[in-house]
Parts: sequence; C-alpha cells; structure tokens
Amino acid sequence: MKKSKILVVSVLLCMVLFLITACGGGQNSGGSGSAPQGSGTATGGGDYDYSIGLCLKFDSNASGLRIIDAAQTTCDALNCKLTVKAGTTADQSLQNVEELLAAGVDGIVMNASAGITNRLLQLCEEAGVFLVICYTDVTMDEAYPDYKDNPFFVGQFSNDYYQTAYDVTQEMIDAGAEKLAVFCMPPGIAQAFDLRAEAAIQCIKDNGKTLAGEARGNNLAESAESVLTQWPDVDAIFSGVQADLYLMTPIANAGRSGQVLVNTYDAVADNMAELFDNGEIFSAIEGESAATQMATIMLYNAMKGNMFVEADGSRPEIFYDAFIIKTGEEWTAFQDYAYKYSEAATQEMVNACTDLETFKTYAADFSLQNLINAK
Amino acid sequence: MSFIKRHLNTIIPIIGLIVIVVILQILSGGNTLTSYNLKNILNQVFPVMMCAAGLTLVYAHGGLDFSVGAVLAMTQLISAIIVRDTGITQLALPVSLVSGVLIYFITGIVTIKLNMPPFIASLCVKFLCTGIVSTVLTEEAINISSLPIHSWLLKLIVLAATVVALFIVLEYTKLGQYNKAIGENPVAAKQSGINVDGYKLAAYMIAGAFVGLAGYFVLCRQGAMTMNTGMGLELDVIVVLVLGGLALSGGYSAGVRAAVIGALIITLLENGLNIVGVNSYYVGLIKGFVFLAIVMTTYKKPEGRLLPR
Repeated sequence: MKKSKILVVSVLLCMVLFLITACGGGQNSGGSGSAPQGSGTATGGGDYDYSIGLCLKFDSNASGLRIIDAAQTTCDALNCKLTVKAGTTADQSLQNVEELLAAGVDGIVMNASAGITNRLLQLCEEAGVFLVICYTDVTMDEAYPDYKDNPFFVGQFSNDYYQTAYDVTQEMIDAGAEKLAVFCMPPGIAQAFDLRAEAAIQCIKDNGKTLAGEARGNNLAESAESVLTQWPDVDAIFSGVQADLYLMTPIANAGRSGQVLVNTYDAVADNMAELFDNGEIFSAIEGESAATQMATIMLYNAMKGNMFVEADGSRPEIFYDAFIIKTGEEWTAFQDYAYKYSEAATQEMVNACTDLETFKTYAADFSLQNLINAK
Repeated sequence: MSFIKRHLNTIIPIIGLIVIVVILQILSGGNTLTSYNLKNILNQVFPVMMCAAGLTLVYAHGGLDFSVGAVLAMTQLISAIIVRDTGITQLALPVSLVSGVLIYFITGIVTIKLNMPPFIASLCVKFLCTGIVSTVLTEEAINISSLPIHSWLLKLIVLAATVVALFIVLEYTKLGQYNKAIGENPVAAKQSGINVDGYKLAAYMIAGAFVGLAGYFVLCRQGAMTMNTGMGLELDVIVVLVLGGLALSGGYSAGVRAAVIGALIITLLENGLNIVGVNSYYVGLIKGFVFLAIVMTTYKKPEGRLLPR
C-alpha cells in the first residue's frame, strides 16, 4: 500500500469519526443556551457547588499570581472550583473560553476580553454559561448595545481607567512635575493602556505643563531605555504599564534615581517597598485582584439565580476606585494581605450582598484602607 | 518490516496523534472527544492547518515564510475596514482572498526578482504588514459583529475541500511536481526547462489565497479585528510542518499530510491538556517533550535532515 493511500484512509477515518462524534449529541455540561434559570443546582462536578473559569492576561507574573490567589480565595469561600486560563490576544481569549466551556464551567470571570466581548458572550450564551467582565470598561465598547441585554451577561466590575490615570498624573503635577513623559504600550493593544495614556496627556495639557513626549513601543524594554535618552530632563514619567519592571534601570543608568516621579501599574518587582522608600516609585496603582473577587461574587449570585439587575432591567456597570499606593508601608500591607478579601470577609460579603444595592454599597467602600481594616 | 522503515516518518506522527488522543480522552474523563470540544478543536485547528497547507507549496520549493501571521492580520484589517465602511459583509471574503494573494505576490516578486533569501523577504513583508496594522488600528478592536458565525460543518467542508484540492495540486499537477523538483534541485529544474520563477510565484499566490481564506474565517469567528491577531502563527506553521514530517529544505518530501497531521497534533495536545486541567506552566513543558519525541524519531541523524519520503 502506498503511503498516500495510508494518508487518505487515515484522514477519511478521522473525518468519519469526527462526524459521528460531532453529530452524536455529546454532552456540553454548560447548558442548552436557553434563558438562564438559575436553579441553584450544582453542576460543577465533584464536591463543588459550581465551577468557575477565570481568564486573565498573564498567569505567571506577580500581578497575575495575586489575581489567581484572590480568585482562589473567593472560590474556596464559595465552595467553587476554579480553573484559570491566560492569554492576551483575541484568538487566545476565544480559545480559553471555548476550552472552559468544554470543561463544563458554570460561569466565567473575564479579565482579558481582548476587545471581543460580544463574541465571547455569544459562545457563553450558546453554552448557557454566565460571563462577568472585569478589567475592561465595556460601556466604551462600540458593540456594547448588541450584548448589554444578553441574558448571560452578568455585568462589569471595572476601574475607570481614564479617571484613575488622570488623578495619578495630577498628583505628580501637584508634587512639582513640570515636564512629563508618557510611557505606555502602543495604541490599539488594549483599552486600558489607551485610556491611561490619553488621560495622562490630557491632564498635562489641562495643567499647562510640558509633555516631553510619548514612548509607546511594542518592545517596552527598548522604549524604556529611550525615555531618559530622549528626554533627560523630565521631572516625571507617567507609566501606563509596569514601570517597576522597565523604567528603574534606565533611570538609574541615567544617574537620576529618586529624582524622577514615576508611577507603576500592576507592580511585579520584589523590592517595591524599597523603591517607595527610596523615592524611586511615586505611586503604584492596584486593585485588580480584589476587584476580580467582587466580580466573582456578582457571577456567583447570577449562577445561584440571583442575577443583579438595575431597576430598568439592565446589568450593573460598576466602577471601582483603584488602590493608589504611595508608601512602602502601604505596599507591604497590600502585598502581605490587602490585595484580596480574606475568605471570611468574602463569606460575609456574599451573605450580605443578596441584592444589587447592598453590593453597590460594598463596591463603593472598595479601597485599600477597607481591606486593611477588614484584616 | 521494510515497509515500516520506509514510511517511518509518516507512520510515527500518525501513531503519535492517536496515542495523544487516547491518553487525553482517558485523562479528561471523556471530555476531549465530546461533540462540543470537537467543534472547538475544529475552530482552533482551522487557521493553522489552512495556513500550513497553503504554505506547503512554498516550502516544497525551498521557501521559508515568517510573514504568515502578519499577512493574516493585514487581510483581516483590510476586510474589516471595507466591511465597516461599506456595511456590505459579503465583501469580507473576496477582499480577504484578494489581499492575501496580492501580499504574497509581493513577497514572491521580492524573493524571486531581487534574488533575496525567502526568509529575509518574508521578514520584510512581516514588518511592513505589522507596521501598517499598528499604524492604522489605533483602537483596541474594529468590531464587525455583523459578520456571520460559520457552522462547524461549513468549516469542516471548506477545510477538507481545500486540503483535498491542495493534495491533488501537489501530487498530480505540474505546479506541485515542479515546485517539488525546484526544491530538490533548482539548477537542474531550470536546466530541464521548468519556468522556476513562474512556478515559485504561483506557489506564493496560492499560499496567499489560503491565508486570506483563513483570515476571513478568523475574522468571522472573532467578530472583530484586533491588534494581536495572527501573533506567533508563523512559528506555529513551521512547528506544524516539521511535526507532520516535512523537510524544511523542500523537495519531494513535501506533502499536505504534514499540515494535516502536524496541525492536529499541536491543536489536540494543547486543547486536551487544557481540558484535562493541566497547569498552564506545564503545558509548554509537555508540548516540548512530545514535539521533541516526534521530531527525534523522524530525524535521520547521519545526513542531518528529515527522512526522505
């Protein structure tokens, strides 16, 4: 038998097997795609009440690990199984959601929607699985009207990225910055980056300060090195990304450690407290890990059949205030225990938040100080 | 026994594929081969198999392509803008096909007429396309949710039809045979009277059509054009072809089976490991071991190249 015949037979066999299995009505444990009933029955398998999927951008850096740990704490408190998927591109997000649905999750917390929330929600609807959005302001999505009333859309728990970045820049200016540079990912990579850079530039303009320039390249390490070369006399650098990772060395190489005000997002450096104490970091913007827990609680209620809805029937579009950390002491407290709600605090919140208004009250109190107090 | 020896690098990837499927099916408690997940696998395998199949002709004549991901993104960008601005969703497919063909035509012309090494020409095209996409796309996504979501059956039919068509082209037409002959020995092919440049260019244009077709289906699936679309696809395609047993030097070993088997291995493995719930830290590690095992068993050490077919 020639090898081409082997191939033809193999491919045909695979095709036939595929057709038989695909048409065979194999079970998708997610559901039927009909309107959600929220019966409260356990479908997660094992001893868990529910199975929850978490999609985030990175699962291996410090920031990602904090998010996973926080989500796991919430799931432990709610007796839910957690499955984590990471990916930054639209294709990866689709693949992650498809695989979570195939694995039979009951709900998904989406921290990496990659601009395709509409398609992700269509997949979830087909499988009868709930989806809550975190880390993206879906109200700015041009496709939002297409899915805002989707019965499987739980809502969003997101930061106002523009306002936070504006406030952070304003604080730098209030601290004496006259000439500022902007360091961020290039336009179009993700909504959060674009809003941060846009807000910082607007704030600089509104205050009549000098915008030295924008360093927005795909290669952040290279962009970071060029910042101090291009604009050696800047007083401050607004960073829409992890400045603790990229900017500290170039600033030190330029002999300006502690002389340039720099903020950072989703910090990953081991020595953050030291960077604060040395004046190398001006502020760190955090909160996504605890916000993911809040989003998970929204999802949990929806899975239980208690979907939070506004008076007009629309889904809640909740914005949280990011944690703006400014001292080494605050950072230590944040890193040690205040990046997440404890299991007990989560249980207390879940017991209390049986309606949207109460949940909104908790959301309004969302702050680093409250987390420290809760500890 | 001699039959097995002769067809070792066809048989081993197939055995590898079957073993992977059986193991993952057992470990996932039957969740890997459910109808739902098979549709997922089809969605995931579609772009990489389509692109790898299309590029088989290019690899057959000794070409090497690093631009496929960027070209896919470019075809999507052009389609998305035209559909958004005209509102005519039916334009997406022809625009994607034509733009794919045109871009690969340029790659082919640069490679052939400037006598440039194919991987250099394709890198230049990759950077050009990536640059254009990042310049034009200044928002997170161009939403084209009006595009249809194609059924798995249509995708399967399209994929099967294109693979079969390419199989016929490679095995039974002058285009396929001459491209393989060029890959074996371009000088001999030229001296035999083969229009080397013409057949190479045709191979590039056919690859462009396949990439355009893949771009269209990915665009429909995502419902939006996003910045990072196609990222890493070029390496996936190379891995797929090597796993499937294709010699990167080209020649008579080139066959569409490499794209089919390689794409199924890479997709099934990743999908299955995720379904099983393997920690993502270990997924890459396991993939590396499996790929190494397959490539090692199909690699002919003395000559330092893959076994001839």
